[in-house]
Amino acid sequence: MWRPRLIVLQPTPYCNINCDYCYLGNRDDRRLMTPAVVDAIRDKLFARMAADASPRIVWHAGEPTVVPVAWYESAYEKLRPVTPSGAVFAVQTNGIAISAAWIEFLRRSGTQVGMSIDGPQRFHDARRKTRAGTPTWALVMENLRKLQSGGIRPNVITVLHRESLFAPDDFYGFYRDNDIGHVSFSIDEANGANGASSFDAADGKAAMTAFLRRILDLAFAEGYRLHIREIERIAQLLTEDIASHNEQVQPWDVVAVAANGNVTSFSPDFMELRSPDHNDFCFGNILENDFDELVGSEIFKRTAEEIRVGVELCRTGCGYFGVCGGGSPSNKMSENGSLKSGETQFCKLSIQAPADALVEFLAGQGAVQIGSKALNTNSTLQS
Amino acid sequence: MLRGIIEMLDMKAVPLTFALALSAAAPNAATAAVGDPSELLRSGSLRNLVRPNEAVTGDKSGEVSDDQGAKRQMAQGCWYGYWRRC
Repeated sequence: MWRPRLIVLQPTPYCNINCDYCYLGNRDDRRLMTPAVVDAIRDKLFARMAADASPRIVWHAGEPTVVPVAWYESAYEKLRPVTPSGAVFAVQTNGIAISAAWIEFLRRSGTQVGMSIDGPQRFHDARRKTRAGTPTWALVMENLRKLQSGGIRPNVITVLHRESLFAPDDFYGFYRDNDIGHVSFSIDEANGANGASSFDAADGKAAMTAFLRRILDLAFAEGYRLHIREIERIAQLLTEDIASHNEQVQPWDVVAVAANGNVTSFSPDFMELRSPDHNDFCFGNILENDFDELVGSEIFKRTAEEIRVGVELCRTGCGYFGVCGGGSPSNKMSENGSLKSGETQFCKLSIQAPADALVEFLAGQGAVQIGSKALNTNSTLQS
Repeated sequence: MLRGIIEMLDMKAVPLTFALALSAAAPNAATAAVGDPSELLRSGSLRNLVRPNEAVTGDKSGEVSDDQGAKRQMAQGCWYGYWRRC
């Protein structure tokens, strides 16, 4: 039976704002996922899941809240009866269009909320703008407070640019002062429609490590329970006797369905990548193909084999493989031009830097000892 | 059992990272000693640091059962998933 980890569903490619670094190339497309596509998702995907599967099902890859609540009520009515009890529905939003009706729906449906906020106002407003070019931070923060007042505590995703890394105290203060307890740091990546990254010119790994280490130190010193996802994920691996699970390199651990029914797997970002050799990573269409046809498609098999080769390169050549599991295929494709490749900026900034920051932090607290000398709270990692 | 402890910490909103750091201050604290930082970057390398820590949880009684832990894990979905855009 099929036990996916992550299902990304795109109600619409359209987004109501226009961030400078957005990787979504079709964000002007106002197409809406049709009832027929929702029916096919139910019949061909959800019905194939094991009863004990526990996927996260995320409305994403456009701005989901521009779609009326009534559309989701209809979709949930169709999908819920065949959804495993351990599944979690979530929505990833920019927070612009969160209304009272949306808050009521989110509470009633038990849908979790991920919210994109790039930290303090000057960092957020520098790039997250309306389609008219005006800043969005004030409106997003107002809606964050409405959600919090409604008993919903969003998980925040913050996209960092190079200049962000020199202001860790400001970022930490922002999360603490706004009662944000769970944050995930993405990086400004050259991926999809975003062709360049602020990290292209220089290696940002040391700066990213220092940024994360400083935030950990500040939060720990003040007793503010800030969960940084990239670091908590690695901490969990180091404390459990389990292999690193990288769902982006495991066939059909991830499935993403676009509004038009196109299906991809591995990296959800594949929806946005163009590669004629891989049919733009479209492994079929849910309206036309059943699950077995998607799994059996030649383009899927070839993609899976190329990803496997890339993972083996990571396994033999990277000291962080134990906490990574083989990198991000979409980043390998975007940055290296091949799935059969190794290190990317994502590896350095989103895996290696958090791992180093965690080890440095634990060494600084005396929980781990590196080499023959114990490290005090002010020391840095030395081998 | 270990998973139960971890889940207990998480349910009390204590980042696991902080629990590991606090373990160093506990009586008879365990320390992971390695020659090189890379030795830590593998599954289970810090198992010995995780313990019910009164300083963290304020709770001497209990661990969460494996069953409860598993349910909690399911409820979290891919909270500690690899893809970072959700």
